Amino acid sequence: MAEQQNGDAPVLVLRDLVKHYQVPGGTVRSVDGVDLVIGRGEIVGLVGESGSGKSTIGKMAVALISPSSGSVELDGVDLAALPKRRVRAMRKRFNIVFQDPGSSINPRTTVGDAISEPLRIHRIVPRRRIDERVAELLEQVGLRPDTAARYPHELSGGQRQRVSLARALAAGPELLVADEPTSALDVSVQASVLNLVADLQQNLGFACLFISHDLSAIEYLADRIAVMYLGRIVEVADRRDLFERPMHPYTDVLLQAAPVADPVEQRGRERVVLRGEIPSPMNPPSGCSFHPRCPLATEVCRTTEPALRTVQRADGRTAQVACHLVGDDGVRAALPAESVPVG
Amino acid sequence: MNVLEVADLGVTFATEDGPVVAVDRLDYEVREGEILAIVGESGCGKSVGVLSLLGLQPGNSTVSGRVSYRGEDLLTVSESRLRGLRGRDIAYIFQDPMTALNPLMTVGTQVAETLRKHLGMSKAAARERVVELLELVGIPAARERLGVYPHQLSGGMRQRVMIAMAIACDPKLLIADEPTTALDVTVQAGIIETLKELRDRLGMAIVIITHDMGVVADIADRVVVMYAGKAIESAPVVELFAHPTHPYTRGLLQAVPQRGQHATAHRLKGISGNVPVLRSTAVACSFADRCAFASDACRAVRPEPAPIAGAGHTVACLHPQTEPLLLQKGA
Ligand SMILES: Nc1ncnc2c1ncn2[C@@H]1O[C@H](COP(=O)(O)OP(=O)(O)OP(=O)(O)O)[C@@H](O)[C@H]1O
Ligand SMILES: Nc1ncnc2c1ncn2[C@@H]1O[C@H](COP(=O)(O)OP(=O)(O)OP(=O)(O)O)[C@@H](O)[C@H]1O
Ligand SMILES: [Mg+2]
Ligand SMILES: [Mg+2]
Repeated sequence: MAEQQNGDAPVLVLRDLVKHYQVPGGTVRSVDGVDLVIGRGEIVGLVGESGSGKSTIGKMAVALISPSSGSVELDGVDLAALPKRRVRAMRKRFNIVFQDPGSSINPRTTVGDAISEPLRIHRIVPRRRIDERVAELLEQVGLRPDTAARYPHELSGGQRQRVSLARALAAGPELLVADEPTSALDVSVQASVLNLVADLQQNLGFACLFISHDLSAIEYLADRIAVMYLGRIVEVADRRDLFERPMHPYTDVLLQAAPVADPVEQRGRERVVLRGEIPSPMNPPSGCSFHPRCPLATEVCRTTEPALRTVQRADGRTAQVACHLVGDDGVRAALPAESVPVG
Repeated sequence: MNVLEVADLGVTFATEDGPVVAVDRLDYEVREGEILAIVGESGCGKSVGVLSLLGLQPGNSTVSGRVSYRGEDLLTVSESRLRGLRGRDIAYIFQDPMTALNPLMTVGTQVAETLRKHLGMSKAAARERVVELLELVGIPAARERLGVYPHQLSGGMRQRVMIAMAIACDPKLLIADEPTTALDVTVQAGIIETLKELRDRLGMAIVIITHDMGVVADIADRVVVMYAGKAIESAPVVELFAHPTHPYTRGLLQAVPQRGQHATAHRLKGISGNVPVLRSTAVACSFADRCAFASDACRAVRPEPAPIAGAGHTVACLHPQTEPLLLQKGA
């Protein structure tokens, strides 16, 4: 595999990526100019509003759908320049776990066949060792080896999700796009899956775009985190900074909205509810797309679209943010108290 | 008054390798206006258990026990009575929206159909109500999206369409199987508010299956912890988090990643081992093989749920743990 790698070049580079869809009611601007780089062996967390374009980015990153404009480079190769056949061959090195596990595995094949398929197609292990490898993969995701004989419809939601993950990991990818890979798992099973991803990263230099609404999973696993809102990335920061000092007001609101696993504390908390109209990706607001709901918005926010720019914090670390109200040192005024109503 | 009483519920699958007991003598009840959370390990029978209440379990299964909805035994009523109850009195939010929604029907038509079928609304009135419902669950540009198909929506939007469909007819009992897994936490907070508001306004009872302990802490009045098809612990929510007693419940709470922990410096504590596959109803503790406190007695008798100190708290364990639970905090 080494000869295919391109030195220290990033595994994934997204440049000004755009995806628009035509639907009966108009044009949906699903992804609207996204730049993102994932280094070799890096885990990048992608979080943000439901419907902000995360899954669409994930599918473009592994060439399952093509961008309306912009480019995707995998290991230094521009996907648009590759013939389809070559793209399929790359599937071994770049894989995806879909958000909807129910619809991504063939209902007519057994779990064992589904997982061994990539092993056979890409000749990853000798034929006689396939069953052994399938059992090993199943165990890694916390499933019993005898699950191999069962059909997808005989499994629970979380069991199916782990089958998708085992299948995606079978070929030993260099980059995995994992779209909500633990959303159907209870926390104890999730713990083993998160530990597994961390081990792959540490032992094999595996990189991952980890899409999740679970902020605690993201905080545990990601090296860097990108936050999306309405088709754009609004903040990218080191995980140490993002949770301690969110820069974009949306990030701040998002972190505060996560419920705490303690009923007394959670019910005594002030509940964060975003006010203002929910913006539409078919008709995005002028200026900053968060301005109609932002408690700090000023005139410039309504008129001028903020670019994603680099800031340097007091501790020397850099980050990126798209907000007029954040200074070049990454600092912004606190959200006013009344935007965080007492619940 | 109890809206739902589930007693001795059993669901057994016939598979190529013989029977698999997915639900093993499960008991619980839900009062009017109560929000009951069911938590437990992936594959422990949560979904199958609630699907079987209204005869929606997979075909290769048999159901036993008693399910009483406002005094009516749902396991013996006619199929036409069940059809009348489904979607109207008792509504489901299914775990997998992609399989629950019709891929060939537009979102607007799908939600409107529920309204027309159960409430006899006119086409135009149903359409307006659909827009209202989709806005209530926070779908942006709801009116413009009536004509789109499920695959043209994001995962979280599909989930919200299902929620809209489930609450469309103001059901008396809402069964929500992982209803917020595809939602970001701000949208989730809105949905939780909406559900609480429906409970307050209509006295709706809600059974919510979730693995998100934050959601449990936020919304539940009472919690049932399931393991291998059984209720192994049950308590009011504050009591359960303050005094988790069953070793499985404690393991579950300890597995939640804490603020500040990162993979480079910390390893998450799972619960080692797998859930057993039951071939017949358990005659011993199903958790014994994974439990640090198990004794010979645990492998010889099945622990039955029994009350312990703390109002409304029951646990099925021979070695209930009473030490305070220490959660390891991150750096
Ligand atoms: N095939 C399609 N046709 C039309 N619109 C689409 C299509 N796929 C996605 N969209 C739209 O693109 C936007 C982004 O969707 P996407 O699935 O990427 O969101 P997401 O961030 O993954 O959301 P979630 O967190 O809910 O999964 C949404 O408004 C969605 O309705
Ligand atoms: N049609 C079927 N045939 C055989 N076994 C089945 C069938 N459907 C489900 N099962 C098994 O029944 C058990 C309970 O499944 P269920 O879907 O209720 O789990 P769950 O608790 O909802 O899990 P999750 O949290 O992963 O959704 C699982 O072990 C599953 O493999
Ligand atoms: Mg998505
Ligand atoms: Mg389930």
